[in-house]
Amino acid sequence: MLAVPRTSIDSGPDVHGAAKLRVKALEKHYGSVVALRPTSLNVMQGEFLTLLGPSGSGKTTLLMMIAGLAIPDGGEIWIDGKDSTYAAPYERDVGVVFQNYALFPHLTVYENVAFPLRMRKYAAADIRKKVMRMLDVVGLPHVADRLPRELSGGQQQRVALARCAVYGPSIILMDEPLGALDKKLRDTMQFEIKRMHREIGSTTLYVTHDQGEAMSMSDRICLMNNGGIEQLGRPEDLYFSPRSRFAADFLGGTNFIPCQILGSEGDRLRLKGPLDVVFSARPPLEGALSAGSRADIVVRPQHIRITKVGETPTGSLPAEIVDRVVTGATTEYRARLADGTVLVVMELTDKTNLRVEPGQNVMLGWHLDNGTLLPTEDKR
Amino acid sequence: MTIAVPVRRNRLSGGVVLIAPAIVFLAIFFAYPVLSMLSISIVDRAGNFTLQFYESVYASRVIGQVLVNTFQIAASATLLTVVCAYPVAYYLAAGPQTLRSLLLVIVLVPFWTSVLVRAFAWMLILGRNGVVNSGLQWAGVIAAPLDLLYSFFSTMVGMVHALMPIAILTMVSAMQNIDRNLDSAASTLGARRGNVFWRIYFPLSFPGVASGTMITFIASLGIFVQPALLGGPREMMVGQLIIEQIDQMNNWGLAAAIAVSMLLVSVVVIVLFERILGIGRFDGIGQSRATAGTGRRSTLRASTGRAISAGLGWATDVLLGAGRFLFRRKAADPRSGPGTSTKIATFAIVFFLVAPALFLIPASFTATRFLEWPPQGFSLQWYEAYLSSPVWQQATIRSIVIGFTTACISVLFGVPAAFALTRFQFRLKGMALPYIMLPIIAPNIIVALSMFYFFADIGLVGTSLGLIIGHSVLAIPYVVVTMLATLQNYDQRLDEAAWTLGARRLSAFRLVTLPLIKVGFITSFVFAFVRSFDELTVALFISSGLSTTLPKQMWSEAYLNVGPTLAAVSTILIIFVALIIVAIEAIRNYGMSSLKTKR
Repeated sequence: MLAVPRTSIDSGPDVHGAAKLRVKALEKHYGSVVALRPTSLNVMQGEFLTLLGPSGSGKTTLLMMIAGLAIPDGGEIWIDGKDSTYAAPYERDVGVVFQNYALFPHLTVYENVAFPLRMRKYAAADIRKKVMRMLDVVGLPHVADRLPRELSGGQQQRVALARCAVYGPSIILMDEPLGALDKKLRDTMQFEIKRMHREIGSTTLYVTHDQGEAMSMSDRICLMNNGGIEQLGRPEDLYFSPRSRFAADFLGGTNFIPCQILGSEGDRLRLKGPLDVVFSARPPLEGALSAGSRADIVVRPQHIRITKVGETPTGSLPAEIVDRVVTGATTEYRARLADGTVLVVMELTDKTNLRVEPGQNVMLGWHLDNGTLLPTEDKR
Repeated sequence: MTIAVPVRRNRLSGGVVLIAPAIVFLAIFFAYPVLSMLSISIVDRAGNFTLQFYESVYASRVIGQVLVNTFQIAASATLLTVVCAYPVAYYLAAGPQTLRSLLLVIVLVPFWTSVLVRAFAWMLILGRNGVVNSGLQWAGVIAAPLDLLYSFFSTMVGMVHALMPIAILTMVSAMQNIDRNLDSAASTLGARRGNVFWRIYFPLSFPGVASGTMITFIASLGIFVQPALLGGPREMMVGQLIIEQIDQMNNWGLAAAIAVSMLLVSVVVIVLFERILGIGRFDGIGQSRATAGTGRRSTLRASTGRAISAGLGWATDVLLGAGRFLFRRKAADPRSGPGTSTKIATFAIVFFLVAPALFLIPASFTATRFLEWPPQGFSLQWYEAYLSSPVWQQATIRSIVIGFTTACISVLFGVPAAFALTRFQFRLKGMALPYIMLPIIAPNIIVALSMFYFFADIGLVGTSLGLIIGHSVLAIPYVVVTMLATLQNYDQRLDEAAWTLGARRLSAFRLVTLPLIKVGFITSFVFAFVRSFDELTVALFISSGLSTTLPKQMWSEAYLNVGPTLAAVSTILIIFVALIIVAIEAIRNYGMSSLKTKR
């Protein structure tokens, strides 16, 4: 009855349309360690797709195989309609932005950007025109004659982008390109990368472990875990309809409230939560839940409302506030139910927060649309 | 990684206190003697200024010829050495991890084996009854033995063999800093193997090649063992000439004038070399922002360099492509490091490095009185001869005692200096390391000769103390370099953590610093010992006939007869050095793993 987590997901805006990159059942082992379970994925023309996941989830392995820098143990890679599974990196139509940029330290910015054009034997006049246009796009025409180490981190990042986009590869691969920058610069560069993506209309596969980065930049996010795809979809799909406990937790953090299914009630399910309080909630996207089975209600911290005891209708949980932390724009509470379950609640910080004190008894409630059901997973 | 530490006043003086002993020691026993050699070359016996020695240097056709010879031989040997060393260094820096440590040991054993032993090995291989001749005769290729020995060819083989390890090690240390990601980046940008190597890797390794060339060239200028034992009269080099002037003619002034001339010419060559190739400037490396825009020459040089590497890149790709077409092979994965041809070249060169010693070992068990191949019968008589001879015994014991004392003194001066260089700030710090390195950069023969003059003045010639001081001058740089490598990897915050936890400076040093740098400490002690134990040049000038060291005894013996006894002594030395190197590698690995488990 439980939904089986799928590692092979072929859904996309248009599977057989303009897929720039098609990965079919690609896998990789290092000795007995499985780096990537058979995985399939399509990236559409002009799409910005992010591989998101914790370290060791297989996202970099997948990227390296697409770049031709690691050899797959099985499966296929099609780039722009061409089987490129075992092609050498220089024969593939890809551009890679490396984590530490890998700018050639002995070549000027101009020569770095010109390098891929020279390798493709462009005419000198063409090279000049294309390089200067690309340096214009990234806003660095004035540093063409400098060496990479004379640039700031953000500038180096832009040169790396220019170098991989200048020859118009079918797909641009980026391996945590913002990892080496500080927070503020990272935010600016996110916008820069998006702007460039729009301006040159490139198809981009982007690797990161930062969920905020993934949410703000991607057309679609491919969430990876344990060497396979956990969920693939638009950022809002992943956020509002996580298919698994991992997906729900990795994107944004959340509360899991254990409950038991009582039966259906229109398009919703009736269920019994902690302290025998009865709720209703939307059924999960996949798989059916029969009466009597166990599940979790997933509620984001910012969707829970704190109200005074006695003020709220049915479907609210009595709890005691145990901790309150003002983190800045938001205030976080920890509230303990009578059965020991601790829930995290988040509110925008304002003066009224100060009235809710640790030790106080309150009621916790949420709009029913904001609660999603997930079948209880076996502890892995 | 060095960590910036706020500089306090007492640190300033602390650094100076730690480094001063080494600086002063080298000033007295190295810098002053070399400078005073200058004065010996321009002062006659009566103490008046004279240019007579220089006049006779330029007047003598023999000396002129030897100088020309020296530069020709040194230049050819350097070129050959660097070309052969490059693939090995490349393999050591970029090859598969598993083979690297083995390869490193193979390169290190000849590095620490006496040049004498290595010259003997080539005499056995190239001699009339040697390995090559008997092999070719046995195969029926030739009827009578060829005269391979005592020629330009044999000198060149011996010198390349002698110089290769230092060239490899110099280049590897530069190549290890090249980011391997750059190769991947270049290949994703469309570059094939040839273009990746010539446009990216080679230009980046060029500073290493340049410094390797420089060090090899300077070392080759002062070499005298190989041309003396393997060359004929036409291969006479400056080193031999200087020894001859001192030993036989007793003409100190002329010897000094020759040495100074050689020093001057090599300085000129180095400067020219730098001007033309611009060490560290190939393709713009080393250009600081300040100079980047100034010199038209530098941009010209960079674009010339780029044009050359571009041409070589395409040429290599065409060749590799043709090879693949001919042999119908798939293109190699550009990430897999050195290709097949590099591997073959590397193993051929490594064989060249190791093989000579392997022939010497069986030859030492021969039952006949001559060094020949294949060895006849089996006997231990030459080992008995070595072990029972009082001369050999005393020489061995003296070498061990002197080596041990040298190691103690070098560590005493060198370790604090290394601490000063990594942990303290003081004025002129940037010049301290090059200054300390000078004794091993300058040609050995010049160091030895100038010490000889100085020690003759103060009565240290012929004494063990003189020899110990002389060897310490050569060993201190090795200690400093080894300790620097160790200390640079040492996180200084560990000490600060110990202080905040209540340890006083001395107990923090004893309980935290010392256990962590123990391996580097032992390594540098052993290197200093081996450096002294193997040393010939200084021993030749400083030790007198009666109190000889092992290498000097071998050298004297070699002049009489290169026979099985020398092969036996050499075998003992080879095994001794190999054991030390393997032990150090083992200690190093053990030290690392025990540190890891302790964490």
